[in-house]
Amino acid sequence: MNPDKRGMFGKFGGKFVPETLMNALAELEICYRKCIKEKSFKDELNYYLHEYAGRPTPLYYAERLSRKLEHKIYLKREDLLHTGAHKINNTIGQILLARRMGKKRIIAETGAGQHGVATATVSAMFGIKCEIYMGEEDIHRQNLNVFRMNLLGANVINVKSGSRTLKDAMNEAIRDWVTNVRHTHYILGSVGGPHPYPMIVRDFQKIIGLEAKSQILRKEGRLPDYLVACVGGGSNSIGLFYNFLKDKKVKFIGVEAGGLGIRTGKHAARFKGGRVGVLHGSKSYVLQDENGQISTTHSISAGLDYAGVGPEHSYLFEKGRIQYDAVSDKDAVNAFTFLCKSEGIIPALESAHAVAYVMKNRKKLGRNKLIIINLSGRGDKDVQVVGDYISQLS
Amino acid sequence: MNRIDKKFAELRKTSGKGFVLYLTAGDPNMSDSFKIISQVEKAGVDILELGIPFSDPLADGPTIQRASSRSLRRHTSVKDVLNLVKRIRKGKIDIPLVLFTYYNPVLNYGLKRFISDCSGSGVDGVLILDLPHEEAGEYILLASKNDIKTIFLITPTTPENRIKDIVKISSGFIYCVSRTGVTGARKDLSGDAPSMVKKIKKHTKLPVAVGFGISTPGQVKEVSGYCDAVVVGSAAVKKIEDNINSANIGKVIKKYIASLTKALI
Repeated sequence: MNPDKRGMFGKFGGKFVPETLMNALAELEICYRKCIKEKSFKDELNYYLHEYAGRPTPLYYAERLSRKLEHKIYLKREDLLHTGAHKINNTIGQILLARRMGKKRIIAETGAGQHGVATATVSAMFGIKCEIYMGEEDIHRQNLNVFRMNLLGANVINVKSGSRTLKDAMNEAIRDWVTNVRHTHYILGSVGGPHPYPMIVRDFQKIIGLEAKSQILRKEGRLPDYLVACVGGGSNSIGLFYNFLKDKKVKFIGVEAGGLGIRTGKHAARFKGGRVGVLHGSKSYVLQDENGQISTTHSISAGLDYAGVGPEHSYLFEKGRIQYDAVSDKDAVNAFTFLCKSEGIIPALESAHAVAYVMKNRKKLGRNKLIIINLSGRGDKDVQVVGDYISQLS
Repeated sequence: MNRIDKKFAELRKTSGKGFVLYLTAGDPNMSDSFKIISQVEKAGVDILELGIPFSDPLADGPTIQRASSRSLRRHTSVKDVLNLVKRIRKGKIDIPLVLFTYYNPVLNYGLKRFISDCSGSGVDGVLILDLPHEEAGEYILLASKNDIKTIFLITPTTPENRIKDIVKISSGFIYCVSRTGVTGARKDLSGDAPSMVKKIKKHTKLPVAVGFGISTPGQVKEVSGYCDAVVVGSAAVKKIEDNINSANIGKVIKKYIASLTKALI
């Protein structure tokens, strides 16, 4: 669905930001609504998605994984996109908007570094100055991506406030935007944040599901039983799910980061331990303490390690249209290594959560179901983290 | 009559300018916070804005971020801040008080309960930084029923049609943010502010306070020349930080604030 005038999906969403940003959000919305109607914009977007990013991505039948789990499993291979994750679908779209708005500088936040790399990439391609905010903790665990961003000419700003992860990187990016809003565009990387971002980012990501739908119909002659994707802010999942939401028989599973276990409190499962709150400009489920202070989250996967979630997810959660579950760090690492050996694919730790869900719940899902898992990114960035995790266990 | 309205009525009579001070509640701890607050009226402060600390203060610069962290280390809650306000009123301190906050702690406390407890504790006005007027319907209704003034920000990026909408739902005073950016002291003042104040005054009779970045007596003097009240926040918070271990923190801060309030024209 599209949000209402105030940017609300039901009771979720909105624009809860300092006054300084209200005009920039309005300007972005006007530009976006105008551009998506224009043939020239759509042509340009499609050109870069195909010729530069490498769309369409394959819908790959994972034969050995299917045999082992006794389901028919397809992987939507967003990991094969340029820069190695679905994030570039959105950054291409937004940089084209930024150019049309005449913005001279790009900023972004990043957790795992995938959105940062995708932003640095398109900024380099168009020769626009780019600065990326990244938490100190994430800089340590995703060092390869920091180096990539530097190579691409972006300046990575080390965020040392708060929990030093994605949430704090986003705070700093918003502070920068509040200050430099006149000439800077903020390329927000997920379907969170104030309206119109949740709508814009979803629209740029829904190509994933659009392709997947025609691919599965071509290959199988029918719609899938399940779509499974990990949910950090929620852009890859909504991207895959969106074009299937009206297909009543299709079931959706969003997989959150269960970290060390829900009971330990060290996780990022907003729909298990969160309540409705306002974080980073939108009303949605938020992990918070009894006083309304935002909780520090934990996940082995930097891209899922976030206290909030996109408002449309909260809406679909309360409507019961998407089912959300969480898997632990341990299960995610198991799925990571399992996919490496069974399919020769190194998935991002984020995407490994989605694989882990199917592995853990293969019986619960029924028998011989047709399943699409969104492989939102590749795992080269994670090999060190996984290596450390495994060596700590032994 | 609400203390904020009364204060501006008094100032108008004497053609005086107001001094609005921001402090983070519970910084560096509740007892010192109370000590400091007890001194500010004597130092010439006309209105006190008390910040409810929030874990993710995205409109604040480093100084107020650190103050919020100091306060949150002691788990200062909305309830604690309201209790502090009660204690202030019990101590016969009659200064107009504005609670300055982000929306999530209020939402979590319950908007209705928050406004009603504000009124019961002796709060005169509320400013919720990340609640623009589009989202503020229920808040305004509840506040006006409870005689709580609703203060909104107008910034250099606010277009004139928004100014018109904002002044309509504002009460007490208008908070004019003199430049784009987060809170924090700056060497140079923005050139936007005088024309902004003029633009706002075209649409409202409410007093206009100017803030963000003001830290020196010279700046206080300059700004008070073109508006009704001057807001100082980060500079005072920084002074608290610098004197955190001083046994006389209340007096030290009083002296510093007095040096600023004296500069009002």
